[in-house]
Amino acid sequence: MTSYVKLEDIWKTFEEKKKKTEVLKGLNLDIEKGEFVVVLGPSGEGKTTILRIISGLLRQDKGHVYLRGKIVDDLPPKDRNVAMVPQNYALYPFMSVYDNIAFPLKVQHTPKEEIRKKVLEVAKMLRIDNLLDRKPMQLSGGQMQRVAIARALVKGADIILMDEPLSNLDAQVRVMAREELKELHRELGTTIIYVTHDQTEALSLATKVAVLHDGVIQAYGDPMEVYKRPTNAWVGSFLGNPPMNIIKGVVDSDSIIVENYRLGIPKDYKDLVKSGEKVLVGIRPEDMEIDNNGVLEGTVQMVEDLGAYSILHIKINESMIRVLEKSISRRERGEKVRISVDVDKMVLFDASTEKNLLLERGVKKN
Amino acid sequence: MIQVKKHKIFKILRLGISYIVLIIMAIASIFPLYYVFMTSFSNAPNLISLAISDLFPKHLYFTAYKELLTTNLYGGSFPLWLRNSLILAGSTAVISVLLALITGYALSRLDIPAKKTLATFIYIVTFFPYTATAVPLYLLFAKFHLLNYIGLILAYTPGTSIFAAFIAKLSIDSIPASYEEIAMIDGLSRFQAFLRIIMRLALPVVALTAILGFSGAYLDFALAYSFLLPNIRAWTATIGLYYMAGLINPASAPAYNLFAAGAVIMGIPLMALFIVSQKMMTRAYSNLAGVKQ
Repeated sequence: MTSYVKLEDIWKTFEEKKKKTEVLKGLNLDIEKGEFVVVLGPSGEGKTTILRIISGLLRQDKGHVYLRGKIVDDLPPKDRNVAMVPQNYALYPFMSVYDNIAFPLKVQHTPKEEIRKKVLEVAKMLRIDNLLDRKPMQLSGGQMQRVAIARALVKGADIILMDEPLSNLDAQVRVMAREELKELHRELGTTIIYVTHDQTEALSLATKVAVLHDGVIQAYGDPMEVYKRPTNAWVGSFLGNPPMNIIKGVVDSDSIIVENYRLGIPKDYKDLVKSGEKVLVGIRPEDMEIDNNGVLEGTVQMVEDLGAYSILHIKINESMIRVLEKSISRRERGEKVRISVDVDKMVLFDASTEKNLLLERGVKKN
Repeated sequence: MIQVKKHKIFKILRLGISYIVLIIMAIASIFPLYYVFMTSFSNAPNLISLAISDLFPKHLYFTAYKELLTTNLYGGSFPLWLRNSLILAGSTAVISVLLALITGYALSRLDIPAKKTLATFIYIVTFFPYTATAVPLYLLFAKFHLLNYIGLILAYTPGTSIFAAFIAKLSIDSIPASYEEIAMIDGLSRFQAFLRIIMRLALPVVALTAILGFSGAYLDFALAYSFLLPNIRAWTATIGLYYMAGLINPASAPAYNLFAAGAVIMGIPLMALFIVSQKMMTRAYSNLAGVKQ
């Protein structure tokens, strides 16, 4: 399938008070039709900038934007046929909900009858058809969000950009809105590009997740794949809550020495490393267990009880790691524990480039 | 018990003082209006005295109004001049609003060179009294054959719009950019988004600028006098009233009742404008209050 939205080598620098900030540094992204792509990244890394470049509100310094296979660098926003749901929804306060939703159609001089039909159709789909006479200020956050989505849907654009549309909602409504959004995407099959800094949102919504850091996409693909096999150490330590533990280690014949303890080499990596090589070892907190027969030994520094599970912060010699313990933990600070590791789930990174050795050395072994 | 009593006395004292101050201020601002009003209903051309019998007259005479509205002075008449004034002030208001909001928008949103210097410069320029510019403007505009309405509008608008542009910038700064961005994605050009979305959201500033522009041009005497004096039919209401009431001639006594009647008539459009714009402002503010940032 050819790409539907394509960003090719996008560079963007912002200049403020004679200080230059490079936000995007040669970003590439290829999105297929009907995909729900979530761009995930920390705050201030240019997520919104990407959306603004796709929509044409902002022009990139270098590189090209393709929509539906055509280059659109010189097209103004109004001719790109995309829709957007901004973070603050931007519902015009002086118009009723009906007029807000109808606005994109009115601008295109659609006949009144048709406007009416389309607005009612979208409103019904989003279950806001009883709110059409209200003003935006009389709506709750969740309702405002739905009106904003209705306005984006009404003109029938097949590419919808969403800028953290759930961040203004409270936790309960957010979970519901997430499900609704997923359902909507399944029904309509539109291409959605959604940016957020919330990983739970990213992992649960996306058909593909793109992790943004340092002005480029660090990892792009199926959310679970990116989670399990992070492309580099940064992605590993960013994704997941608690994030992946990254510890320095040295390969020694058929094992890895980590903080003076010996761990096995995960089977996928056996042929990729040689003895004496320095590596970074990535272990997910949920792939470790407190176990009296465990290989690692450390002292508990801090315990975070989160209800369903607890996060233990454990110091092993010089390294701090986080271990997930299911059920409420009754461990004390300073307690010595042993930890066993699910070796085959470990990920190894190159010590200098920090890239996943599996991807860097290119030999896939199943 | 004594504590509570003391408290009550202080409360009454505080309220009493506030009311006395408010009443004095109210009298100070209402009395001149009342005085002008009563003078306009007197049939003698002099100022009414401060005696009770004059301040609460038994008869109201409309002679001053009748004379003002019917007298023909060298081909000009007060209704004609009033119409001139309204056209002049109305155009000044419209052009000021457009100019001020476009400038404010540019200063707030667009990436233009030397933006900060420009904003500071605009701010400083607002401190100059515009009558100081009357002589150089007259000399300049005489060269360009602009000693007419177009020249006057050209001279009035910068005065109001430069001040209003600064306020417009501050106001537009507080409107999230996503409003017009969404409009642009939904099919408007930047200028259309400005007209339909930003102007509407910045309505209080639009109203304020309109009032400033209108009243500035409507009540001006100095510039209008120097620009329009030779052409009686083109006079504005201020010049006309000045001559009609005979304020120009120190030898004869001026007709103050005529002058007062003119002032009352001229006040009607201004008052209407204030009432309309006040409604616009309160509605606009209550609209913006519902915006979640």
